[in-house]
Amino acid sequence: MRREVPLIITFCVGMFMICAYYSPITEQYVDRLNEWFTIVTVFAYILGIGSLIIVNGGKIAKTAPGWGYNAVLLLSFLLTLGFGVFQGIKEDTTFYWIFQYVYNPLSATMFALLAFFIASAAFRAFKAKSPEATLLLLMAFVVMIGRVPIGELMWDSVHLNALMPMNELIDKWIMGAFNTAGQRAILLGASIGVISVSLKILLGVERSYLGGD
Amino acid sequence: MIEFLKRLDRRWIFLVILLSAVLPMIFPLKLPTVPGTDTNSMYRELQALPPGSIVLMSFDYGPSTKVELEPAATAALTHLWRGNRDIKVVGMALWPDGGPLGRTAFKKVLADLEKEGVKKTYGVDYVNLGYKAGGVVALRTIGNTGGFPGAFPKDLEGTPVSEIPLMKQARKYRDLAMIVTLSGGDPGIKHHIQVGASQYGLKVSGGVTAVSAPEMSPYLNSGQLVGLMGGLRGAAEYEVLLNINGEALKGMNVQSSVHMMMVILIILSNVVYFADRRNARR
Repeated sequence: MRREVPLIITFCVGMFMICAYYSPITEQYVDRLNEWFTIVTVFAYILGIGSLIIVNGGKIAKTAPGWGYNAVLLLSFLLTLGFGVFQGIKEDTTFYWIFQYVYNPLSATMFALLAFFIASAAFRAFKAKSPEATLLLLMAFVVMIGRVPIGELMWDSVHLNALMPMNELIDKWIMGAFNTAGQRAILLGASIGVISVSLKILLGVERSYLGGD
Repeated sequence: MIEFLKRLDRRWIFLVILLSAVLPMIFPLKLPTVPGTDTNSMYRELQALPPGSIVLMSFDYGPSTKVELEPAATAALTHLWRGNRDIKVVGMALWPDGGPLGRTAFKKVLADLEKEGVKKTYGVDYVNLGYKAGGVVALRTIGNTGGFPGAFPKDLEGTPVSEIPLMKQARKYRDLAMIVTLSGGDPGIKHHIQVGASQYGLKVSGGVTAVSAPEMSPYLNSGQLVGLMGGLRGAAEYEVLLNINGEALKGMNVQSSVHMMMVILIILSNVVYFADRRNARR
Protein backbone atom coordinates (compact mmCIF):
# COMPACT_ATOMS: atom_id res chain seq x y z
CA MET A 1 0.00 0.00 0.00
CA ARG A 2 2.93 2.34 0.69
CA ARG A 3 3.69 2.32 -3.03
CA GLU A 4 0.23 1.86 -4.54
CA VAL A 5 -1.47 4.82 -2.82
CA PRO A 6 1.08 7.47 -4.02
CA LEU A 7 0.97 5.93 -7.51
CA ILE A 8 -2.84 6.14 -7.61
CA ILE A 9 -2.79 9.75 -6.34
CA THR A 10 -0.16 10.70 -8.97
CA PHE A 11 -2.13 9.05 -11.77
CA CYS A 12 -5.47 10.61 -10.78
CA VAL A 13 -4.13 14.15 -10.19
CA GLY A 14 -1.96 14.03 -13.34
CA MET A 15 -4.79 12.82 -15.56
CA PHE A 16 -7.16 15.38 -14.03
CA MET A 17 -4.72 18.24 -14.74
CA ILE A 18 -4.27 17.10 -18.36
CA CYS A 19 -8.05 16.88 -18.92
CA ALA A 20 -8.66 20.16 -17.05
CA TYR A 21 -6.48 22.02 -19.54
CA TYR A 22 -9.16 21.40 -22.18
CA SER A 23 -12.26 21.87 -20.02
CA PRO A 24 -13.61 25.07 -18.42
CA ILE A 25 -15.90 23.06 -16.08
CA THR A 26 -12.96 22.03 -13.90
CA GLU A 27 -11.67 25.61 -13.45
CA GLN A 28 -12.39 25.94 -9.72
CA TYR A 29 -10.70 22.61 -8.90
CA VAL A 30 -7.63 23.61 -10.92
CA ASP A 31 -7.55 26.90 -8.98
CA ARG A 32 -7.49 24.94 -5.73
CA LEU A 33 -4.70 22.64 -6.94
CA ASN A 34 -2.65 25.65 -8.11
CA GLU A 35 -3.02 27.19 -4.65
CA TRP A 36 -1.87 23.94 -3.07
CA PHE A 37 1.19 23.97 -5.32
CA THR A 38 2.08 27.51 -4.22
CA ILE A 39 1.75 26.50 -0.56
CA VAL A 40 3.98 23.45 -1.10
CA THR A 41 6.55 25.72 -2.85
CA VAL A 42 6.67 27.95 0.21
CA PHE A 43 7.29 24.89 2.39
CA ALA A 44 10.35 24.15 0.24
CA TYR A 45 11.81 27.42 1.55
CA ILE A 46 11.20 26.24 5.12
CA LEU A 47 12.96 22.97 4.27
CA GLY A 48 15.86 25.00 2.85
CA ILE A 49 16.09 27.11 6.00
CA GLY A 50 16.12 23.98 8.16
CA SER A 51 18.85 22.40 6.05
CA LEU A 52 20.93 25.61 6.15
CA ILE A 53 20.73 25.77 9.97
CA ILE A 54 21.48 22.06 10.47
CA VAL A 55 24.45 21.93 8.07
CA ASN A 56 26.08 25.19 9.19
CA GLY A 57 25.15 24.79 12.86
CA GLY A 58 26.76 21.33 12.85
CA LYS A 59 30.03 22.69 11.45
CA ILE A 60 30.08 25.51 14.01
CA ALA A 61 29.40 23.08 16.89
CA LYS A 62 32.26 20.81 15.74
CA THR A 63 34.52 23.85 15.05
CA ALA A 64 35.24 22.21 11.67
CA PRO A 65 37.85 23.89 9.40
CA GLY A 66 36.43 27.18 8.10
CA TRP A 67 33.66 27.23 10.74
CA GLY A 68 34.01 31.01 10.92
CA TYR A 69 32.49 31.31 7.45
CA ASN A 70 29.56 29.14 8.53
CA ALA A 71 29.09 31.39 11.55
CA VAL A 72 29.08 34.53 9.38
CA LEU A 73 26.56 32.92 7.02
CA LEU A 74 24.26 31.80 9.82
CA LEU A 75 24.49 35.11 11.68
CA SER A 76 23.80 37.13 8.51
CA PHE A 77 20.90 34.86 7.67
CA LEU A 78 19.32 35.07 11.11
CA LEU A 79 19.78 38.86 11.33
CA THR A 80 18.27 39.46 7.89
CA LEU A 81 15.40 37.06 8.61
CA GLY A 82 14.77 38.71 11.97
CA PHE A 83 14.68 42.23 10.52
CA GLY A 84 12.36 41.04 7.73
CA VAL A 85 9.97 39.23 10.04
CA PHE A 86 9.77 41.88 12.78
CA GLN A 87 10.18 45.14 10.82
CA GLY A 88 8.80 44.14 7.42
CA ILE A 89 10.34 44.70 3.99
CA LYS A 90 9.19 48.24 3.20
CA GLU A 91 11.57 50.90 1.91
CA ASP A 92 12.45 52.46 5.27
CA THR A 93 13.29 49.19 7.01
CA THR A 94 16.67 47.67 7.97
CA PHE A 95 15.84 44.64 5.81
CA TYR A 96 15.61 46.83 2.72
CA TRP A 97 18.84 48.61 3.70
CA ILE A 98 20.60 45.21 3.93
CA PHE A 99 19.11 44.18 0.57
CA GLN A 100 20.08 47.42 -1.15
CA TYR A 101 23.52 48.08 0.30
CA VAL A 102 24.87 44.66 1.34
CA TYR A 103 23.22 41.84 -0.63
CA ASN A 104 22.84 43.77 -3.90
CA PRO A 105 26.52 44.79 -4.33
CA LEU A 106 27.85 41.47 -2.97
CA SER A 107 25.72 39.44 -5.36
CA ALA A 108 26.64 41.65 -8.33
CA THR A 109 30.34 41.41 -7.39
CA MET A 110 30.23 37.61 -7.26
CA PHE A 111 28.67 37.51 -10.72
CA ALA A 112 31.12 40.10 -12.11
CA LEU A 113 34.04 37.87 -11.08
CA LEU A 114 32.82 35.42 -13.73
CA ALA A 115 34.19 37.71 -16.47
CA PHE A 116 37.72 37.18 -15.18
CA PHE A 117 37.39 33.42 -14.90
CA ILE A 118 35.70 33.13 -18.30
CA ALA A 119 38.57 35.12 -19.88
CA SER A 120 41.13 32.88 -18.21
CA ALA A 121 39.24 29.70 -19.17
CA ALA A 122 38.81 30.91 -22.78
CA PHE A 123 42.56 31.56 -23.01
CA ARG A 124 43.32 28.04 -21.80
CA ALA A 125 40.64 26.00 -23.52
CA PHE A 126 39.14 27.75 -26.57
CA LYS A 127 41.36 26.24 -29.28
CA ALA A 128 40.81 25.25 -32.90
CA LYS A 129 41.62 21.58 -32.29
CA SER A 130 39.18 20.16 -34.86
CA PRO A 131 37.06 21.44 -37.80
CA GLU A 132 33.99 21.59 -35.48
CA ALA A 133 35.91 23.55 -32.83
CA THR A 134 37.21 25.92 -35.54
CA LEU A 135 33.67 26.56 -36.80
CA LEU A 136 32.49 27.21 -33.25
CA LEU A 137 35.44 29.53 -32.68
CA LEU A 138 34.74 31.52 -35.85
CA MET A 139 31.03 31.88 -35.00
CA ALA A 140 31.94 32.96 -31.47
CA PHE A 141 34.28 35.60 -32.91
CA VAL A 142 31.61 36.99 -35.24
CA VAL A 143 28.94 37.10 -32.51
CA MET A 144 31.30 38.40 -29.82
CA ILE A 145 32.65 41.20 -31.99
CA GLY A 146 29.41 41.79 -33.89
CA ARG A 147 27.37 42.26 -30.72
CA VAL A 148 29.41 45.29 -29.65
CA PRO A 149 29.65 48.66 -31.40
CA ILE A 150 33.39 48.35 -32.01
CA GLY A 151 32.69 45.29 -34.17
CA GLU A 152 30.30 47.24 -36.36
CA LEU A 153 32.89 49.96 -36.70
CA MET A 154 35.51 47.41 -37.78
CA TRP A 155 33.06 45.76 -40.20
CA ASP A 156 32.28 49.14 -41.71
CA SER A 157 35.94 50.17 -41.91
CA VAL A 158 36.76 47.19 -44.16
CA HIS A 159 33.73 48.08 -46.36
CA LEU A 160 31.87 44.85 -45.60
CA ASN A 161 28.72 46.80 -44.75
CA ALA A 162 27.99 47.21 -48.45
CA LEU A 163 28.04 43.42 -48.79
CA MET A 164 25.86 42.77 -45.74
CA PRO A 165 25.37 44.90 -42.59
CA MET A 166 26.78 43.28 -39.45
CA ASN A 167 23.36 43.40 -37.73
CA GLU A 168 21.77 41.56 -40.64
CA LEU A 169 24.48 38.90 -40.65
CA ILE A 170 23.93 38.21 -36.95
CA ASP A 171 20.15 38.75 -36.62
CA LYS A 172 19.04 37.21 -39.90
CA TRP A 173 21.60 34.50 -40.54
CA ILE A 174 23.52 33.40 -37.46
CA MET A 175 20.69 33.92 -34.92
CA GLY A 176 17.65 33.78 -37.19
CA ALA A 177 18.60 30.78 -39.33
CA PHE A 178 21.33 28.56 -37.86
CA ASN A 179 20.65 29.30 -34.18
CA THR A 180 16.86 29.08 -34.52
CA ALA A 181 17.09 25.72 -36.26
CA GLY A 182 19.40 24.36 -33.57
CA GLN A 183 17.40 25.81 -30.67
CA ARG A 184 14.15 24.51 -32.13
CA ALA A 185 15.58 21.02 -32.47
CA ILE A 186 16.80 21.10 -28.86
CA LEU A 187 13.44 22.47 -27.67
CA LEU A 188 11.41 19.85 -29.52
CA GLY A 189 13.70 17.05 -28.36
CA ALA A 190 13.52 18.23 -24.74
CA SER A 191 9.73 18.65 -24.92
CA ILE A 192 9.21 15.14 -26.28
CA GLY A 193 11.50 13.90 -23.50
CA VAL A 194 9.41 15.73 -20.88
CA ILE A 195 6.19 14.24 -22.29
CA SER A 196 7.69 10.77 -22.28
CA VAL A 197 8.99 11.05 -18.69
CA SER A 198 5.68 12.56 -17.52
CA LEU A 199 3.74 9.65 -19.04
CA LYS A 200 6.12 7.18 -17.42
CA ILE A 201 5.54 8.86 -14.03
CA LEU A 202 1.75 8.98 -14.49
CA LEU A 203 1.59 5.32 -15.52
CA GLY A 204 3.82 4.26 -12.65
CA VAL A 205 6.69 3.04 -14.86
CA GLU A 206 9.09 5.64 -13.44
CA ARG A 207 8.99 5.43 -9.64
CA SER A 208 12.29 6.95 -8.55
CA TYR A 209 10.48 10.02 -7.17
CA LEU A 210 9.03 7.76 -4.46
CA GLY A 211 12.53 7.11 -3.14
CA GLY A 212 14.12 3.71 -2.56
CA ASP A 213 14.83 1.63 -5.71
CA MET B 1 57.37 34.92 -26.44
CA ILE B 2 55.57 31.62 -27.12
CA GLU B 3 57.05 30.16 -23.93
CA PHE B 4 55.95 33.23 -21.95
CA LEU B 5 52.38 32.92 -23.27
CA LYS B 6 52.37 29.17 -22.63
CA ARG B 7 53.22 29.70 -18.99
CA LEU B 8 51.22 32.90 -18.60
CA ASP B 9 50.00 33.32 -15.04
CA ARG B 10 46.24 33.81 -15.03
CA ARG B 11 46.65 36.86 -12.82
CA TRP B 12 48.02 38.69 -15.89
CA ILE B 13 44.80 37.82 -17.71
CA PHE B 14 42.78 39.13 -14.76
CA LEU B 15 44.77 42.38 -14.85
CA VAL B 16 44.28 42.81 -18.60
CA ILE B 17 40.51 42.23 -18.27
CA LEU B 18 40.34 44.64 -15.32
CA LEU B 19 42.11 47.35 -17.33
CA SER B 20 39.95 46.79 -20.39
CA ALA B 21 36.85 47.17 -18.18
CA VAL B 22 38.02 50.19 -16.19
CA LEU B 23 39.74 52.30 -18.87
CA PRO B 24 36.64 52.82 -21.07
CA MET B 25 34.78 54.03 -17.97
CA ILE B 26 37.43 56.72 -17.46
CA PHE B 27 37.94 57.49 -21.16
CA PRO B 28 34.59 56.72 -22.83
CA LEU B 29 34.63 55.90 -26.53
CA LYS B 30 31.86 57.28 -28.70
CA LEU B 31 30.87 54.15 -30.58
CA PRO B 32 27.74 53.95 -32.76
CA THR B 33 25.00 51.45 -31.78
CA VAL B 34 22.59 50.41 -34.52
CA PRO B 35 19.23 48.99 -33.33
CA GLY B 36 18.57 45.42 -34.43
CA THR B 37 15.38 43.78 -35.73
CA ASP B 38 14.09 42.41 -32.41
CA THR B 39 14.63 45.67 -30.50
CA ASN B 40 12.90 47.60 -33.29
CA SER B 41 9.92 45.21 -33.12
CA MET B 42 9.61 45.71 -29.37
CA TYR B 43 9.81 49.47 -29.76
CA ARG B 44 7.03 49.42 -32.40
CA GLU B 45 4.77 47.24 -30.22
CA LEU B 46 5.18 49.48 -27.17
CA GLN B 47 4.72 52.57 -29.31
CA ALA B 48 1.45 51.20 -30.70
CA LEU B 49 -0.18 50.72 -27.28
CA PRO B 50 -3.33 52.88 -27.11
CA PRO B 51 -3.93 55.29 -24.18
CA GLY B 52 -5.38 53.58 -21.12
CA SER B 53 -3.60 50.29 -21.84
CA ILE B 54 -2.44 48.21 -18.89
CA VAL B 55 0.97 46.55 -19.18
CA LEU B 56 2.15 43.79 -16.86
CA MET B 57 5.84 44.30 -16.14
CA SER B 58 7.51 41.31 -14.56
CA PHE B 59 10.85 41.90 -12.83
CA ASP B 60 12.19 38.37 -12.96
CA TYR B 61 15.82 39.03 -12.09
CA GLY B 62 18.19 39.43 -9.18
CA PRO B 63 21.20 41.61 -8.37
CA SER B 64 23.53 39.31 -10.36
CA THR B 65 21.77 40.15 -13.64
CA LYS B 66 20.67 43.64 -12.63
CA VAL B 67 23.43 45.30 -14.67
CA GLU B 68 21.98 43.86 -17.88
CA LEU B 69 18.28 43.94 -17.07
CA GLU B 70 17.73 47.13 -15.10
CA PRO B 71 18.69 49.31 -18.10
CA ALA B 72 16.21 47.24 -20.15
CA ALA B 73 13.50 47.77 -17.52
CA THR B 74 14.12 51.50 -17.29
CA ALA B 75 14.21 51.85 -21.11
CA ALA B 76 10.84 50.08 -21.48
CA LEU B 77 9.29 52.08 -18.61
CA THR B 78 10.63 55.34 -20.05
CA HIS B 79 9.04 54.50 -23.38
CA LEU B 80 5.70 53.70 -21.74
CA TRP B 81 5.56 56.94 -19.77
CA ARG B 82 7.54 59.54 -21.71
CA GLY B 83 5.42 62.41 -22.95
CA ASN B 84 2.95 61.58 -20.14
CA ARG B 85 1.47 58.67 -22.09
CA ASP B 86 -1.53 57.22 -20.30
CA ILE B 87 -0.18 53.70 -19.91
CA LYS B 88 -0.75 51.89 -16.61
CA VAL B 89 1.90 49.50 -15.35
CA VAL B 90 1.34 46.55 -13.02
CA GLY B 91 4.68 45.33 -11.65
CA MET B 92 5.24 41.82 -10.31
CA ALA B 93 8.12 39.39 -9.82
CA LEU B 94 8.72 35.66 -10.14
CA TRP B 95 12.06 36.09 -8.35
CA PRO B 96 12.18 37.05 -4.64
CA ASP B 97 14.68 39.86 -5.41
CA GLY B 98 12.53 41.19 -8.24
CA GLY B 99 10.06 43.15 -6.10
CA PRO B 100 12.59 45.55 -4.52
CA LEU B 101 14.54 45.78 -7.81
CA GLY B 102 11.32 46.72 -9.57
CA ARG B 103 10.80 49.42 -6.96
CA THR B 104 14.28 50.79 -7.78
CA ALA B 105 13.49 50.81 -11.53
CA PHE B 106 10.17 52.64 -11.01
CA LYS B 107 11.85 55.26 -8.78
CA LYS B 108 14.73 55.79 -11.22
CA VAL B 109 12.47 56.31 -14.25
CA LEU B 110 10.08 58.59 -12.35
CA ALA B 111 13.00 60.70 -11.08
CA ASP B 112 14.35 61.04 -14.65
CA LEU B 113 10.97 61.80 -16.21
CA GLU B 114 10.02 64.30 -13.51
CA LYS B 115 12.42 66.75 -15.20
CA GLU B 116 10.26 66.44 -18.33
CA GLY B 117 7.10 67.15 -16.33
CA VAL B 118 5.85 63.55 -16.21
CA LYS B 119 4.00 62.66 -13.03
CA LYS B 120 2.69 59.22 -12.17
CA THR B 121 0.82 58.27 -9.02
CA TYR B 122 1.37 55.00 -7.20
CA GLY B 123 -1.79 52.94 -7.11
CA VAL B 124 -3.39 54.90 -9.96
CA ASP B 125 -0.82 54.77 -12.77
CA TYR B 126 1.38 51.98 -11.50
CA VAL B 127 1.65 49.40 -8.79
CA ASN B 128 4.30 46.94 -7.62
CA LEU B 129 2.73 43.68 -6.46
CA GLY B 130 6.06 42.10 -5.50
CA TYR B 131 7.02 38.43 -5.50
CA LYS B 132 4.82 35.42 -6.02
CA ALA B 133 6.29 31.94 -5.44
CA GLY B 134 5.66 29.05 -7.80
CA GLY B 135 6.94 30.14 -11.24
CA VAL B 136 4.58 28.96 -13.97
CA VAL B 137 1.90 28.00 -11.43
CA ALA B 138 2.04 31.51 -9.97
CA LEU B 139 1.17 32.82 -13.44
CA ARG B 140 -1.63 30.29 -13.79
CA THR B 141 -2.96 31.54 -10.44
CA ILE B 142 -3.38 34.98 -12.04
CA GLY B 143 -5.42 33.28 -14.75
CA ASN B 144 -7.56 31.59 -12.09
CA THR B 145 -11.05 32.75 -11.22
CA GLY B 146 -9.57 34.98 -8.47
CA GLY B 147 -7.33 36.85 -10.93
CA PHE B 148 -4.67 39.28 -9.68
CA PRO B 149 -6.36 39.87 -6.28
CA GLY B 150 -6.41 36.11 -5.70
CA ALA B 151 -2.75 35.70 -6.59
CA PHE B 152 -1.53 38.89 -4.89
CA PRO B 153 -3.74 39.78 -1.88
CA LYS B 154 -1.32 42.63 -0.99
CA ASP B 155 1.21 44.73 -2.92
CA LEU B 156 4.92 45.02 -2.07
CA GLU B 157 4.20 47.81 0.43
CA GLY B 158 1.60 45.69 2.24
CA THR B 159 -1.46 47.56 0.96
CA PRO B 160 -4.44 45.25 0.31
CA VAL B 161 -4.95 45.00 -3.46
CA SER B 162 -8.68 45.70 -2.97
CA GLU B 163 -7.71 49.25 -1.83
CA ILE B 164 -5.57 49.99 -4.92
CA PRO B 165 -7.58 51.85 -7.63
CA LEU B 166 -5.49 50.48 -10.55
CA MET B 167 -6.18 46.90 -9.47
CA LYS B 168 -9.90 47.49 -9.94
CA GLN B 169 -9.14 47.83 -13.67
CA ALA B 170 -6.49 45.13 -13.80
CA ARG B 171 -8.22 42.06 -12.43
CA LYS B 172 -7.43 39.35 -14.97
CA TYR B 173 -5.19 38.57 -17.92
CA ARG B 174 -7.84 39.81 -20.35
CA ASP B 175 -7.52 43.33 -18.86
CA LEU B 176 -3.89 43.52 -19.96
CA ALA B 177 -2.64 44.84 -23.29
CA MET B 178 0.84 43.36 -23.10
CA ILE B 179 3.36 41.59 -20.89
CA VAL B 180 6.88 43.01 -20.66
CA THR B 181 9.20 40.72 -18.75
CA LEU B 182 12.79 41.29 -17.70
CA SER B 183 14.06 37.81 -17.31
CA GLY B 184 17.32 36.67 -15.75
CA GLY B 185 16.60 32.94 -16.11
CA ASP B 186 14.12 30.47 -14.71
CA PRO B 187 11.30 31.29 -13.90
CA GLY B 188 10.94 34.05 -16.43
CA ILE B 189 10.13 34.86 -20.01
CA LYS B 190 9.44 31.26 -21.13
CA HIS B 191 6.74 30.91 -18.48
CA HIS B 192 5.12 34.18 -19.49
CA ILE B 193 5.08 32.86 -23.07
CA GLN B 194 3.57 29.52 -21.94
CA VAL B 195 0.79 31.16 -19.93
CA GLY B 196 0.32 34.77 -21.09
CA ALA B 197 0.90 34.26 -24.82
CA SER B 198 -0.16 30.65 -25.41
CA GLN B 199 -3.12 30.39 -23.01
CA TYR B 200 -4.42 33.94 -22.96
CA GLY B 201 -3.28 35.25 -26.36
CA LEU B 202 -1.37 38.22 -24.92
CA LYS B 203 1.55 39.90 -26.61
CA VAL B 204 4.78 39.16 -24.74
CA SER B 205 8.04 41.08 -25.10
CA GLY B 206 10.90 41.97 -22.80
CA GLY B 207 14.56 41.81 -22.02
CA VAL B 208 16.80 38.83 -21.32
CA THR B 209 20.47 38.38 -20.47
CA ALA B 210 22.81 38.11 -23.46
CA VAL B 211 23.58 34.50 -22.58
CA SER B 212 19.92 33.45 -22.88
CA ALA B 213 19.05 35.60 -25.91
CA PRO B 214 19.86 32.83 -28.46
CA GLU B 215 17.31 30.56 -26.73
CA MET B 216 14.59 33.09 -27.55
CA SER B 217 14.93 32.97 -31.34
CA PRO B 218 12.36 30.15 -31.87
CA TYR B 219 9.78 32.18 -29.91
CA LEU B 220 10.56 35.34 -31.89
CA ASN B 221 10.36 33.39 -35.11
CA SER B 222 6.95 31.92 -34.19
CA GLY B 223 5.56 35.29 -33.08
CA GLN B 224 5.05 34.16 -29.48
CA LEU B 225 7.51 36.91 -28.57
CA VAL B 226 6.76 40.20 -30.31
CA GLY B 227 10.12 41.82 -29.58
CA LEU B 228 13.20 41.44 -27.43
CA MET B 229 16.05 43.34 -25.86
CA GLY B 230 18.89 40.82 -25.88
CA GLY B 231 21.35 41.62 -23.10
CA LEU B 232 22.87 45.01 -22.41
CA ARG B 233 23.26 45.45 -26.15
CA GLY B 234 19.46 45.21 -26.60
CA ALA B 235 18.90 47.79 -23.87
CA ALA B 236 21.49 50.08 -25.51
CA GLU B 237 19.70 49.74 -28.86
CA TYR B 238 16.42 50.66 -27.14
CA GLU B 239 18.09 53.73 -25.61
CA VAL B 240 19.21 54.75 -29.12
CA LEU B 241 15.60 54.45 -30.31
CA LEU B 242 14.46 56.57 -27.36
CA ASN B 243 17.30 59.02 -28.00
CA ILE B 244 18.61 58.85 -24.44
CA ASN B 245 22.15 58.29 -23.18
CA GLY B 246 21.48 55.79 -20.42
CA GLU B 247 23.37 53.18 -18.47
CA ALA B 248 23.24 50.59 -21.27
CA LEU B 249 24.91 52.83 -23.84
CA LYS B 250 27.63 53.69 -21.32
CA GLY B 251 28.06 49.97 -20.64
CA MET B 252 28.59 49.25 -24.34
CA ASN B 253 32.01 50.94 -24.15
CA VAL B 254 33.11 48.50 -21.47
CA GLN B 255 31.57 45.54 -23.28
CA SER B 256 33.26 46.53 -26.55
CA SER B 257 36.67 46.72 -24.97
CA VAL B 258 36.32 43.49 -22.90
CA HIS B 259 34.99 41.54 -25.91
CA MET B 260 37.89 42.76 -28.02
CA MET B 261 40.35 41.75 -25.33
CA MET B 262 38.75 38.29 -25.08
CA VAL B 263 39.10 37.86 -28.85
CA ILE B 264 42.76 38.92 -28.71
CA LEU B 265 43.41 36.49 -25.84
CA ILE B 266 41.76 33.61 -27.73
CA ILE B 267 43.78 34.42 -30.87
CA LEU B 268 47.00 34.49 -28.81
CA SER B 269 46.17 31.17 -27.18
CA ASN B 270 45.58 29.62 -30.63
CA VAL B 271 48.88 31.03 -31.91
CA VAL B 272 50.57 29.33 -28.96
CA TYR B 273 48.65 26.10 -29.64
CA PHE B 274 49.63 25.93 -33.34
CA ALA B 275 53.25 26.92 -32.66
CA ASP B 276 53.44 24.20 -30.05
CA ARG B 277 51.94 21.62 -32.42
CA ARG B 278 54.40 22.57 -35.14
CA ASN B 279 57.32 22.23 -32.71
CA ALA B 280 56.06 18.83 -31.61
CA ARG B 281 55.89 17.59 -35.24
CA ARG B 282 59.50 18.61 -35.77
